[in-house]
Amino acid sequence: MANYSFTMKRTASATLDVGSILTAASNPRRFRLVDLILGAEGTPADNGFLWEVNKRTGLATGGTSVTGQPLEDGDTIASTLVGNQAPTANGAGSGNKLSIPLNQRNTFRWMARAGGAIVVPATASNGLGFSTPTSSAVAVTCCAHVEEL
Amino acid sequence: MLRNYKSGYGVISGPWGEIVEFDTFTCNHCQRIVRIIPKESNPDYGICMGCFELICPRCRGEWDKTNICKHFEKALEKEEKEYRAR
Repeated sequence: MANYSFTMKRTASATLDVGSILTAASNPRRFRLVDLILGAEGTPADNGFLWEVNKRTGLATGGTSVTGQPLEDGDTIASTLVGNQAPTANGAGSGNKLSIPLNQRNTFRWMARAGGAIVVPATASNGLGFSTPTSSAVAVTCCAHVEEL
Repeated sequence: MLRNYKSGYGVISGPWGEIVEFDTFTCNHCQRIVRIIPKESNPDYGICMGCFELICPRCRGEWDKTNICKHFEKALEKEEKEYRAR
């Protein structure tokens, strides 16, 4: 059981995910989302954003891979988790886990207490996508901490 | 009783140092994160009488209609069982 941090960035899109964290296609293991930070680092302006966390059941197309960084130096790089950012097509799946409207100038952080983490099943390429379905085209960042189970 | 079910914490930080803090719980049926409004007398979320855990407004509506507990752990196990059977 190790904890990893995934930081995903893109120019916000109303249709495409900022990024996603999925279980590996082979030998998947459960993981849970325990901490989430959402914000925009573009030039400050008053734009409205809706942030969503959605269930994903397939790999995204395109984009770049994101390597989960272990939060403990002694842990190895995540081998059972697959991160992606700025895809050109979202992975399959729906099922909303969180919706939060924010001003571009705001930053949101959510932390799970005991029993409140979002658990993802140990099936291939299953996970969570982070999106901005209502947004302006400015740079946004999502940092998610997950615990591999 | 609700105090024991606060299973998450959210904070929104503004550009001038404003901070809005609130407690959340995670629906035990669909795992949706729900904001808890303090001292709300008639919340739209509720408790499933099958698993005795907090559920979100949407799942509460479904529970009221069907009286079937769809605890997320059961759903995860079903998904994993189907995956292993492939």
